[in-house]
Amino acid sequence: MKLTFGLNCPSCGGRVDIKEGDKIAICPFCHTVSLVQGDDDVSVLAYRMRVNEKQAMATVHKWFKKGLKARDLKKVAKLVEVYSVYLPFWKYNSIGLGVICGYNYETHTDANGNTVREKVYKEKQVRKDYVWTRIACDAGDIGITHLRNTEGEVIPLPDDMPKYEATTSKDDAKLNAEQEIQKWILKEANIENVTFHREFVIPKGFVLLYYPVWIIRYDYKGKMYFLTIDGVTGRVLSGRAPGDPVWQSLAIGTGATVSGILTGLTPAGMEIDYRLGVTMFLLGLAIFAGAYYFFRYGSEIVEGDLPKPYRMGGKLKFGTLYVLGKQVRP
Amino acid sequence: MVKLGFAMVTMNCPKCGAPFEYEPGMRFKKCDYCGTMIYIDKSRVMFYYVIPFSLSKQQAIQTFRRWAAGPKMEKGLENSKIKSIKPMFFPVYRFVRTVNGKEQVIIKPAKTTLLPGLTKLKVPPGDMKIFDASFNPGDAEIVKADLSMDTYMQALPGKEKEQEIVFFPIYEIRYEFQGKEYNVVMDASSGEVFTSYYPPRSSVPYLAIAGTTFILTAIGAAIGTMVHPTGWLVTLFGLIVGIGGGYYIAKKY
Repeated sequence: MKLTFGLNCPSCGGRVDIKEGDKIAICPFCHTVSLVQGDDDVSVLAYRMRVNEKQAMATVHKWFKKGLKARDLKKVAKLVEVYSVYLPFWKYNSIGLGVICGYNYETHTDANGNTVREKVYKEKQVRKDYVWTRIACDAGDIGITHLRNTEGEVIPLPDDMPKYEATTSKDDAKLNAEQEIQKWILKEANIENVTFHREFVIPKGFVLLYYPVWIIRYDYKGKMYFLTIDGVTGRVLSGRAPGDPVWQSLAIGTGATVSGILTGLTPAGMEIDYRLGVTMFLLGLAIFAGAYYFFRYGSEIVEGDLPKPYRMGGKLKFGTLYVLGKQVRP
Repeated sequence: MVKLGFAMVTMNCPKCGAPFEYEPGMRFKKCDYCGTMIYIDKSRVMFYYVIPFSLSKQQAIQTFRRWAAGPKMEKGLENSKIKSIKPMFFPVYRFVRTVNGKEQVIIKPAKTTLLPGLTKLKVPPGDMKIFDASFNPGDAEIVKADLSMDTYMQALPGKEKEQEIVFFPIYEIRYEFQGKEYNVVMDASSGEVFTSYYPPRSSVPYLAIAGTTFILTAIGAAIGTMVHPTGWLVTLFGLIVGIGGGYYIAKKY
């Protein structure tokens, strides 16, 4: 069994240097031009880590104090582990082109002071650069599924930090990228009722990008939380932190009170203008819903692409027990 | 049928015979001696990979307590008694196939199991290593595959490109809460927790306090504007109930 192949000139046998992703190779000895075939591998590259440990720690301490996290977090939290890894991402650069036709309804006031609702026909052309990224392995509980930043200093694959292996299919990623970019093009046109649309995604590059990320695990009262920091921009990408009952109670106290007052004043509002009354009532309802969610689920603060607690109800149903052997029918 | 060989950590340059170390994910390698670019054809071999533990037992228990303190779980679940924590390397097959010119990744079970989460079939994130005799599993049990790769190979679509068995690290944690025993499985690389059942937290006390505050303040505002300004006192009372009651509920329930 042969596992390795030397890549040499098929004509003279001389050594030909081929970089990953090269399509054509020219033999430096006999100048034979060869087509590199058989493995349409994607280029692999990495961005240089720009954030050192000290800078990452400064971000952590700032993050502890920010938002509606436990008030004593900065004081009580103990860092358990601080390390950096390269996470793999599929990165698809493209030019998106689109022709989208349809109509919007627009309201305006005419010369006589009447409000008119009008159907306005639109035809839009979109031409825009799009960069799509998606993590190339299972996201686990890291909480990063796509990159916020797609600029960085490109370096060859380094050995200084652990690299997480890319385990998903590159062609699935390409397909997802194209489908999603098509949706972005359609959205860019900003037409409510679309009657005709055609989108084209012109690929400019597809790479497997290793992106540097800091992972910080910390202990808060016997429980372990974490956050991740972008190794290029230094921003927090995702994290979990304990909440605080004080914020939760203030949220429900003030939120329910404001919505209660708005509802209580709705009849009075109705007398002035029915639209005012309806707006007050709906606004109150929205405030109530928001305050309730924070009150109910605010005991843990979740940032990034982690499942949000109030959506978890549906997502947690994966636990259906079945014997795998029964599922497998070769 | 495809006959598979096993890949070694050390491979040799086909031109000069010099050895080189293979690493997961490697497809091309330049020979350190003769400079030949070597292509590694993975279609006829089966690779053994392992993802090392990145959470210690202590960290896993702390991660469990964080999970158990989540807003969906019954109050106090984080203080459950840990009955056992078992580290394991659990196997899963990962096939890379070329189907109609496209690369397709197919994950298949290598072991029948009733453990929660492991029926989801995925390769958790991690820094893969070659699994060979030099790998030290510590006190973790290496779970043996009981489903054979050959069975799958015959039925899979397309042409083989790569196949591997990946052993990923998990902890099975058994805990006791109010006299009953439950279990979770934790991916010991990223800390994701899987479970089939846990005691849930009721939303009733939360809804009750939110609803009471809303009704009191609404009535107060209505009376205050339409009947007599003293109605606003009811609103004020509602606010106090909301904050005070809310604090109590958030702490206790």
